[in-house]
Order: sequence, then structure tokens, then C-alpha cells
Amino acid sequence: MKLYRNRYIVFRIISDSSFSADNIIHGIWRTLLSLFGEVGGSRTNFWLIEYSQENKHGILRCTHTSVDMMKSVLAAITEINGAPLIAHVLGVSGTIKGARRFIQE
Amino acid sequence: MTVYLDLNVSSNLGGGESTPEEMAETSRILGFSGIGFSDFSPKDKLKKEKLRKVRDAFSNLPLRAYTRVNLDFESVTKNRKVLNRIRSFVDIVAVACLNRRVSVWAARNADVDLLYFPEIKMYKQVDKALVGLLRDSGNAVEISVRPILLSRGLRRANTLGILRSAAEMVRRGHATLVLTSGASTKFELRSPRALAALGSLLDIPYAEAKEAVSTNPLKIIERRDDPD
Repeated sequence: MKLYRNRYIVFRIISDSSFSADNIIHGIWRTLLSLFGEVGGSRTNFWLIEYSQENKHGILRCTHTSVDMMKSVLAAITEINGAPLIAHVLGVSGTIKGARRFIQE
Repeated sequence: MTVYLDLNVSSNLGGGESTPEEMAETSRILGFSGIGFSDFSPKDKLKKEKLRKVRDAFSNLPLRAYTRVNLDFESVTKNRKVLNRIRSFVDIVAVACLNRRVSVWAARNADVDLLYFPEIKMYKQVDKALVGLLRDSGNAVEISVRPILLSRGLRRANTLGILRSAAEMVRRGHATLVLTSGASTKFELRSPRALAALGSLLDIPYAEAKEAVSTNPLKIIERRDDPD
């Protein structure tokens, strides 16, 4: 029996700077740990599925119970490597295919 | 369609860093229908002409811009005097609750729209009595998410704790709550849903947090358009 279902959050980075996927992962983890701690972070099953440095769109995975938590985390990210940014959530989907549709739109 | 408003942003015309055009364009991308520019200080001796000029500049922006004046005097008399002078030609009047006397006066006064607290510790003034006055007058308490975004560690924990208590008090007393970004650069802006998500850190249910960036600010704007 599955204990949780995956959700995929599609986001777009609004910034004058360019970030690698590693930068994004580090930025999200740092804010996640700062806001919810190690126990809270462990419950999210967070993983960055993909991030395009070119068009600044990304898809992250989390559990269905931690969607709101991850939205707060994305909203609370103010900078990565000193460069200011906005992590703007475009939508949430139950499948990667559905998530990619948000990017195409 | 839901109208989302951020009633507290400042551009480089006031104390901010980004231009009004940059702020407006980013707000539009994030999904706002209107923003309130708090670039006007009564200490600059606000003139009708200057306000009209700025308002005209805003009229070319890709979304509706509202003029907001922050009254930040420690004396009620001074606040009252300036309020009488500016009320008819600004969209939003916010009063800085620098002390109890000013807070009570602002909470009672129907010509005031918003009560804001320039320092986190000042939110401790939000109690049952103040919320009761706010409920009767229809004035709103503004909670800006900027201090949450800009603080870290212990300071952020303290900030969240105080804001959570204030939000709980306002919600329990059925007074109006308005969530704003308080942004002074375009990167400090947050989408309406992001503001609501940050509201959830203050234990505000998502639906209520969404109202705090849509219905509640809209009520404030509409009551000026139609004072009856």
C-alpha cells in the first residue's frame, strides 16, 4: 500500500541571474531546513525532477501532504548565491506529464 | 475572475529600488490586477499636483495602480491634520501604529483604511479591544510578509511567532486582515498564491489568506469609490 502520493510543482524562476539545477536544489533545501527543520524536510520527499537553465522552468516532486509546505518554501526563497529571485509557482499536478503541460502553456 | 491586489509596494519614487514600471510588470506576471504604491510621504508636503502627476505616470502601467500614503506621526493631532488634507485625493491611507493612542484613533477613524506596524514588536498592540474597534469601523490590519522573507534563524522564529499571534487575534475578532508583500524591489514581490502560502506559516487557513489578498483589499478600495 502506498503511504503517500506524489505531486509535481511547476515553478518558474524570475531573476536577472542564471542558476544551475544544483543551485536551485541547494536554495530550496536551505529554505526548507530553515523553515521546517530536518524532520519536516524529511517528510516532503522533495526531489528536483528537472530544471531548465534556458527558460528557467522547473518541476519538483513532493508528497501530496507537503504541497502547501513546499509552496511556502518556494515563496520564502529570496536569493541564491546572493542573486535575488522569485520562485513563481505555475501549478501543481499529479503526474509529470500534467506538470509539463503547465510549462508548455 | 478573482481580483488580486497588493496594497503595499514602493518604487524608486519613494524608498524602493525598482522603477514603477518594473514593479507593475512583475506584479502583472505574478497575477495581480492592481498594486498600491506607498511612495508618498506626508513629510514631503504632498501637493495635489504632485500626486496627480505620479498618478498619471501610473496610468500607463499594465495594471491598476493605487496611491497610498503612510501616516507615520507619533501624535494623533498631526495625523488627523494630514489625514484631513490628503484624504480626498489618495486611494489608500495607512496609519503607522507607533503608539497606543495612535492605534486606537486609527482603528476608530473611518477615513483610515489600514493600520500597519513598522516594527515587529509593535504588532503586540493588536489585542481584543483594538480588534473590536477595527471590526466596528471596517478598517483593516496589514500584515506584510517582508519581515518573514528578510529575517533568518531566531529572528525569523520570533517574527513568525508575533505575526501569528496578531493574525490569530484579528481572525478571532472577525476584523479584516490584509496581506501585502511590502516589496521595495521587484524581486521582493510575491504572487497572490505565494502570499497566501506564506500566510499559512502564520496558521491562517489558505482560503482566508487568499481573501486577505483579494476580497479584503478590494473592499478597502471599493469603499473609497463608494463611501455609502
